[in-house]
Amino acid sequence: MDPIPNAMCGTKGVLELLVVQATPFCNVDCAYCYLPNRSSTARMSEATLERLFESVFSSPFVSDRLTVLWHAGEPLVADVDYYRRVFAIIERLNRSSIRVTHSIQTNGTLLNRDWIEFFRQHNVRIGISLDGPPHLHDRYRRNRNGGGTYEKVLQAVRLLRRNDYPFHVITVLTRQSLSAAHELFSFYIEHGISDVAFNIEEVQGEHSRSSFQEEDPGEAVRSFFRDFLGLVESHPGKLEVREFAGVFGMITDSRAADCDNPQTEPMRIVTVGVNGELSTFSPELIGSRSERYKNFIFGNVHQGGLAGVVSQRNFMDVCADIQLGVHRCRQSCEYFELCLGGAPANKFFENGGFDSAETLHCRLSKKALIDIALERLERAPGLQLG
Amino acid sequence: MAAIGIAPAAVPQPPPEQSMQANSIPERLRIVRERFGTEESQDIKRDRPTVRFTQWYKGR
Repeated sequence: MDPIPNAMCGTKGVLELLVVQATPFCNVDCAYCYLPNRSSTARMSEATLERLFESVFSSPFVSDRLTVLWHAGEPLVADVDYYRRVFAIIERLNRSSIRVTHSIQTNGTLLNRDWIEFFRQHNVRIGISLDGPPHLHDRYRRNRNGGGTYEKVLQAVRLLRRNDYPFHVITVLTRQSLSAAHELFSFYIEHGISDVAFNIEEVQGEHSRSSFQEEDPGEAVRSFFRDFLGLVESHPGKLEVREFAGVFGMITDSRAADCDNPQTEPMRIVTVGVNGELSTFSPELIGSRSERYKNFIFGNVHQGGLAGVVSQRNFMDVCADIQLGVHRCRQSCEYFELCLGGAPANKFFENGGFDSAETLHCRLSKKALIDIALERLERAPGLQLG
Repeated sequence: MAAIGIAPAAVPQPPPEQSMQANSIPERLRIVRERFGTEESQDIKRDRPTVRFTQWYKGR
C-alpha cells in the first residue's frame, strides 16, 4: 500500500509557520527540554537569513500571510540589534507585501525595556515560559548553575505588564502540577496573566523520560483540566486558556477537519536550523538524530532552498511513514475526527516510528481534553470561556 | 477506546463511523454538534489554521 497521494505527499502548498532557530543556545537548562544542542552558541548568520527569506518569499509554498516563530533555543540570547538587522532584511525582501507576523517564545530572563520597545515597533507576539509558583517552576526550569529561574521570569512578566505589552504564558504541566489547579489559577490571576497555554511534559528528543511515565496519569490529567475549566468558567473574563479554546472550537465546529493537521502535512510548518538546515512536519525534529531519516534534514537554504525539500529521498521516506501513521490513527482511534493523526514527533520519540498510532501525548494532550470538553457540553450547553 | 497497538495496514478495518456505539466519541460528538450547530463564519474557518498553529506551538 502506498499512502502517498502524489509526489508532494499531499501538501496543499501553504507555508503557514516558519520556525527559525536564531541560535540553539539557551541560558536556561530545563530538565524536560528536547533540544540536543542547546549548549551551542552558534548564531544564524545574516547571509543565511537573507538566503532563507529569499527562498521563502520566492517559494511555491508561500501565501499572503506567514507567521515567523523565533524559537528552538532562547531567541533573546541574540541581542536586539541582531533582530533589528534581521527584521530589516526580511522587510526588504518581502516585495510581495506578504503579511508577516513575528512571534517569540522566550524564557523571559533576558527581557528588558529595549526588547519591549522593539516588540512594540514590530508588533511581535510574545510568549513567556513560566510553570507557575516557584515550587513548580524551579523544579524543572533551572539555569546552568542549577539555580531556579522563577524570580527572573516573574520580573519579565512584571516588566511587560508595567509597559502594557500583551503576552501569553506557556506552562509545562508535570506530575507535580496536576494537583495544583487552584494554585495555578490563583497564581495567574495574582500576576495579571490573562492568556495561558498548557503543554504537558512529553518524551521528545533529549528528554527520554517523562514524569508521567511511571503510571497512567490519564485520570489525573482529566481531573486537572476539569477543575481548571470550572475555575475559568466561574471567573468570567479573567483567563483565556488555549487548550479550552481549541478543543471547544473543534468540537462545536464540524468543519474543523477541513483544517487538517499541520504537523502531518509537509511544508505547512517549516523549521530552519541555525546553519540553514531545512526540516518540516513537527518542529521538534530539528536537531534530533536518525540515521534512517538523515536527521530529518531535507535540504538547506544555501542549496536547493525550500523548493528542493520535497524532492529529497529522506523527505519522501518520512512523509510516507507519517501518512501511514495517520492512516493507522484513522483506522484505530475514535478521536481521529478531532485529532487528525496526532504529532509525528511524539510517535517517533515514543513509539520508535512515524508509522504508529497512539502515544502518551495523544492520551494526555488530546484525548483527556476531548473527554472533559464533551462531558462539559453534555452536562449543559451554555459555555463562557475567558 | 482507541487500541494502543496498531493493526497491520493491509488488514481492512471498518471505518470508525461504521462501528459507532451509543457512547462512542463520534456519536457523542455528533449529538453535541447537532445541539450547537455550525454557525461559525467563513472568516473564522479561514483563520482557524493560523490561530491553531501559532497558539499551538510548544515553546518551552
